[in-house]
Amino acid sequence: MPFASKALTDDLIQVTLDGRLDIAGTAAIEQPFAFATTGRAARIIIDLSGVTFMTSIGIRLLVATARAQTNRGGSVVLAAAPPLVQQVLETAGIDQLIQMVATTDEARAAMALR
Amino acid sequence: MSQQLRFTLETSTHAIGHAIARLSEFASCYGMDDDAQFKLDLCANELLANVAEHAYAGAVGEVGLELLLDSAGATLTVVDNGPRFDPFDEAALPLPTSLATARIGGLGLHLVRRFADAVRYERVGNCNRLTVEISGESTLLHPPATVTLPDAVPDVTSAPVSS
Repeated sequence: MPFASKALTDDLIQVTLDGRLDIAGTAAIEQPFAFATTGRAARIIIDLSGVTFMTSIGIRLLVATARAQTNRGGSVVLAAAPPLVQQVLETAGIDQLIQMVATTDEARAAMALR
Repeated sequence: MSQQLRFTLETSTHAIGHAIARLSEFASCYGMDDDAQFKLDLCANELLANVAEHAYAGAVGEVGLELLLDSAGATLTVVDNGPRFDPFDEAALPLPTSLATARIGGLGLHLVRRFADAVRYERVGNCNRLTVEISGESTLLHPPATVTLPDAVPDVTSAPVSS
């Protein structure tokens, strides 16, 4: 479960996740992902287009990131989740807690308003 | 015609990862469709995580997995010998309504309830048996001539069984 982080502006960061967000995949990135996404207040776009699988453990990671950023005055948008991953997130009610959009372009537009 | 895979594993993160891979490869070998495989993968992950967390008070224990594939779909059973615990007996947790109050505990079993077509719990002897049924199109009647399964899970107690 690799991930990549790219600063689009000083306080706008796009993080791209790939692979499986299950027990093993989440454990493999938990600490560096938290460091990259919660170290300071920022607007974070999490690109899920490469995520092939999601369990409650992966959801916990996303919620923890969004909560930390909200507490710091930042924000998180989830972008481009594949259909089955989106279905898992919606079934868990995450779309009611974290904004989800269909593409990273939409995510950038949403963040431009914040 | 049906195909069955049965083995045991320890409830360590490493062994669970290998077991999930083995289940997925078995389902793939017998032509289970992608949506059904995703649901099977999700239910197996969440049920094994639940056993690892609750069955042995945090210690590593043994868990049995049984996967039956037939033309209607998959039946997955997870067996542990921890204290009696029916996770489906509890009322479904309300979904989180805010980031500040969101608690993820219980969410995995909520996903199992929603993604499986049927769930049931049985106490058999000293064992908890959690079973989920997942419907899905399959090409079971035309399995590959030779099915090669990954030999990644220690303490495998039986090979695939045709019936």
